[in-house]
Amino acid sequence: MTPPYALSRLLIYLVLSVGAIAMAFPFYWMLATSLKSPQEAQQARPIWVPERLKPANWRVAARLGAEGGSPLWGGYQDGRSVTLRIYTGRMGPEPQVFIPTAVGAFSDPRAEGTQIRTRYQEDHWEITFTNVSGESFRLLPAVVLLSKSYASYRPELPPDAVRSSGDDWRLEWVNLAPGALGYVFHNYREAWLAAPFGRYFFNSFITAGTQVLVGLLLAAMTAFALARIEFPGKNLVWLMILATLMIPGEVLLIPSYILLSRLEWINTYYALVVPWLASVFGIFLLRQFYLSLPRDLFDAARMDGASYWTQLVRIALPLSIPGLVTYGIFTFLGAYNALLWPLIVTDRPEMYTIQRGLQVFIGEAGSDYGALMAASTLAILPIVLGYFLAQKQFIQGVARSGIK
Amino acid sequence: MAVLLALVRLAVALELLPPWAYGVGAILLLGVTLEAMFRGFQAALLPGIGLLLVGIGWGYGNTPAVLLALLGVGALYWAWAPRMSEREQASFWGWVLVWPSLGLLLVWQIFPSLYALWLSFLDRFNFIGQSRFAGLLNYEILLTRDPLFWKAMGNTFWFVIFTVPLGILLATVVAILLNERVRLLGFFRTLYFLPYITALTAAAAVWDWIYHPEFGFLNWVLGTPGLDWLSTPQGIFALAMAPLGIHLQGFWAGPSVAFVAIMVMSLWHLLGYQVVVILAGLQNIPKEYYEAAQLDGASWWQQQRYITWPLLSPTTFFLSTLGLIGAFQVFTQVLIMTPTGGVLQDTLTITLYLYNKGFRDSDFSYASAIAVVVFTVILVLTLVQQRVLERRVNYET
Amino acid sequence: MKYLTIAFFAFLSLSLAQQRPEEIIKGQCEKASVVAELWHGFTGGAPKTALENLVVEFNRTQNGQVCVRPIGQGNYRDLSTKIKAAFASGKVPAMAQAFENNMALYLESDALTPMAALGIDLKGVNPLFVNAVTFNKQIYGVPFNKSIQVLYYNRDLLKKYNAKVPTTINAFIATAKQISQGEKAPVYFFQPDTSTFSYWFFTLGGSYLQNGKLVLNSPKAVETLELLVQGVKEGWARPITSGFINANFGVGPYAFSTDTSAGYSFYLQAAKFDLGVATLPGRTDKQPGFGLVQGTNLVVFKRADEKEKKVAADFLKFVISPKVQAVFGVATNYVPVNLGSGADPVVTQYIKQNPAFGVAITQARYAKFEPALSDWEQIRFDILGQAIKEAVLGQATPKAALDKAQKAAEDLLAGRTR
Repeated sequence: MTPPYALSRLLIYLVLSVGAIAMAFPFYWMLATSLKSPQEAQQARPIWVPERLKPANWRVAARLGAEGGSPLWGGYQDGRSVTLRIYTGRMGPEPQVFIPTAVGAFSDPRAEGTQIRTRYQEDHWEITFTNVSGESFRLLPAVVLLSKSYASYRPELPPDAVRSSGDDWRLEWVNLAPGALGYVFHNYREAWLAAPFGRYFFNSFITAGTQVLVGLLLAAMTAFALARIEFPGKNLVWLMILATLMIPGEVLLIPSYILLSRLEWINTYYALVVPWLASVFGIFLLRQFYLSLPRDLFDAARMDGASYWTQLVRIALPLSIPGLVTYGIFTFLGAYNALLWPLIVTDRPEMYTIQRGLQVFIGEAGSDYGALMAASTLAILPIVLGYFLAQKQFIQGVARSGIK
Repeated sequence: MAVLLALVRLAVALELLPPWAYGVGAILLLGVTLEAMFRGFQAALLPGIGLLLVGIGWGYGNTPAVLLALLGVGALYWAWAPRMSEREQASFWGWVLVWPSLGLLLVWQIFPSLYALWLSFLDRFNFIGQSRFAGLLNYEILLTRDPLFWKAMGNTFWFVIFTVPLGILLATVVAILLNERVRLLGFFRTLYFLPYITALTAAAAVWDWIYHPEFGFLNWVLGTPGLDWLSTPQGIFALAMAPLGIHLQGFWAGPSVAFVAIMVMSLWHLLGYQVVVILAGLQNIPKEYYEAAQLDGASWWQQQRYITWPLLSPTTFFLSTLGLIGAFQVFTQVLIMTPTGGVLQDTLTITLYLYNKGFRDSDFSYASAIAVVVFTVILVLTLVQQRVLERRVNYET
Repeated sequence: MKYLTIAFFAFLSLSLAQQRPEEIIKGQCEKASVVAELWHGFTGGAPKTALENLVVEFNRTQNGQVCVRPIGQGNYRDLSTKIKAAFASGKVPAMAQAFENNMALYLESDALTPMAALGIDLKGVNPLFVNAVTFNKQIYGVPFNKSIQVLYYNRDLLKKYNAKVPTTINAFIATAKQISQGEKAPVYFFQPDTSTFSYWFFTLGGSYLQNGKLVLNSPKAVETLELLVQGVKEGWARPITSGFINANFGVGPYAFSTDTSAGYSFYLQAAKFDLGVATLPGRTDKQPGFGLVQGTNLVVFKRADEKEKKVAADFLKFVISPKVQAVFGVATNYVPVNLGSGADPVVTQYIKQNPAFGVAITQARYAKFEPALSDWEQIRFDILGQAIKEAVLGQATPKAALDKAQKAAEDLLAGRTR
């Protein structure tokens, strides 16, 4: 090992690492933001480790959660009391405490059915919320107005937002009884419960899965016929398929939509799947594959009296598995990540795919970047997991698309 | 003929023709096909018959008829097959296997395209009112009096100029380095590849956040608080030349800072794919070439220059064609990061413009005209590119 | 009146119930013989929930015979596309949300039913709002979710400079200048777009239509744009070109903005300072400035089935009643379109805790609309909006930018361009 060699190796690793960090950074940022409170997300200086990832806070969260419900997932159950301490060092003006009511609600059993008690102990204010409403709740949001005359203050659990409000600081918590997991994964839990993501995932998998399976069969049939069978009109068919390749997708949106609505297919799986079953890309790819297989193979089978269908199923399909994998991966990715088409053909939440659901959620979440990033993470998770499970097939499948 | 019938069926569905037209058309075609089949015993027409019957059944919403037609054709074939010649068998199976895809492509791609082409000849068609035939008026306006269209074309041009060579260059460098028998190959490859499988919707949302003028990570790294990347409409060439006292205007001002930010995001998204494809291309180059070169005393650099680069040309050619076509389809990231197309329409891409015209201003005729023009441009560019580059591409056989 | 009171309390109890209103409506429409669809563009949050609650309540009064079913079609833009496609496919909903320029487009092919034909009386509804949905002396819709521009300000900063909330344009400019000089940064945040421009333009006495003709480069318009450009040059006005103003509080000291009342909750969420809301500064202190009204109306399509139209008519009467408007307004922060809602205890109670809502109600009496032309959206974004941005960012003089805009708008309206 000569020094120049070691040096060049070092350089290679250095360049690769810098590139890799640049590539991976947005993912880190997405994950980090998904664990932040709205105010933490909106800081000019980036917060590398969100409050919700600090073990000291987990302990407090677990204790508060245990007081209200369970130490892991928290809660605000009937008859329980949750106590928060705010260390101020001296007894100044008494803090005002209340439970914010939900936007647009006229009455809120959680706010009305809670007794709030504040008292000063040694060096801190102790605020106790007691649930006497007769009902149990998942979250305990709270607002404390603390006079600006306190030089310093430290609540046990860091507030999710601090704002100025007249002569007070307004400290806000989205959930004062979170439990350890409920604290860390707050954004994920709320995002998951805010919309039927389970149903979205189901729809996405059904549509993408059908597209892959049926699409594969159709593409293989067509490609086989075009590559291996001489029939009248073949050139015409091939020409037509080539022409289809050139059509930009946007042209098709309006006419296809009209057709679908005439068929009364809007808001059905048909609308999500059928128009995309025939894939020119798949036909191309597989035709290339079948052309590359030795001719004698098929001729011999033909001599033995095998029908074309038998040739397709017994010889062509098994030999073209790599091509099928490539096609399958691209079709699945395309169907799973599609936004524009589901946007146009579905308008009932029970028919939304995950991307469509995410897009709606982005609209609803507004500037709640934490929840938004949590939902985004959920949306890309299955594909990323799939990639890790079948890394080799993924890479080879994708690589094959570029080999002539 | 079945093609004709399918079109008639669609026309009925769209109320362009009265419902009975379908029945009449179907019966006429059926008669003609039957006649031809029995006269010439053309097995190739058998699937056609089946499809016709299926079509009629489906057209009138009669499921048993559809099944019956399929079974009938199956039975006919079974009875007939032993007496069929090789050629007839081939044509029968050829059409049976091709029909499903062909039918779907006809209904969902070719017919809608023709419909869109028809729309582009109408005057401001929006489905609500009546619109008259306007000939080539939309094309005339688009090509001669529409500055925004040319702005969008200019942006697409810059997108190609910047992202295609740069993306391929970067990907080639990374791929060559990865090919140097590095450890942790899988780890690095994964990191480079992840962006590609991420949905653009989610990816664009994250990048939007990174570019944020106030809370954005980029401004913190560069120490430029408040710099609003995505709404800086000044061209980068104009900015670069301003200190020298040269003031560039219009097209020559170059892509805006905002558009460059979008290009960077797009590069990031596609790089993984390019790396994987080029890596595969590299691994297809026989090792012996390098060994021979090393024996001749060629330096590492010379090996890349005279072996890797030329032998990789089919792959780079493929990627550049893909990039060229892709540039005309840039949409999702622009819509999410700059929903209005930039402060001064400086991130307007051709697809966003088409979407705006069709879905915001409800002029589907004009939007269709844009689509047709884009189709033509892509076609011409691909042909030219093939002509010019194909001669230089070094195909290894 | 009685059933409305009952309705209101049922409404109350409903918001307590955990069952989602969407589910309830599904049940209500299962057995109904006539279902009138209402296509809307609320993507979620309080507006969507409030609308659904309102529908649940209406359906309950119909004894299960008929029902209204709200269907969200995405955002407003998706909605207008879906409606166009619905015309193509021949299955239009009974009702839909529509902006005034959408209505003008629908009316070009006579697709809307006049309110008079449905027996709907708009007495009591804000006449300025009704005026905006009147085409050729016929009323073609009921105003539904309306927001209006108001003045947002930073109480902390005003207090620091001992400044009063300005009530006239001159006082406003003077105050903004004074604070900007003190803070050494512009403190009036504005989006250089047609909305902001419209407030200044209307308040200075301008009008987009002159003798029925669209004029974008009138002397008043040039004066208005020069004022904004001047503000940027003199350092008291800061153009915000990316996103909403409330997302930009961090870029520098903020004292004022003239923005839609619909943004209130977002302002509140983003503000770390004490947020104040007031009526817009006027030309004199006799009355506030004119705020631009935005938001949709509910329209009934002519092609809809007669039975569905009847249900739609009953529903629209229900929607514009003072009580329902009071409840809807309080739930969503939209301005109640019925002037009688202001006196409703639900509203007066709410205003005590949220004075901003009262400000919007007052401001709604000094409201103006942009022209209801079917091409307005394109003019507003691509033509006038671009001219304003070009001038404010110093790429053209106000006069030149507006002259160019006028020519472009004329070409568009004459069919010379698209």
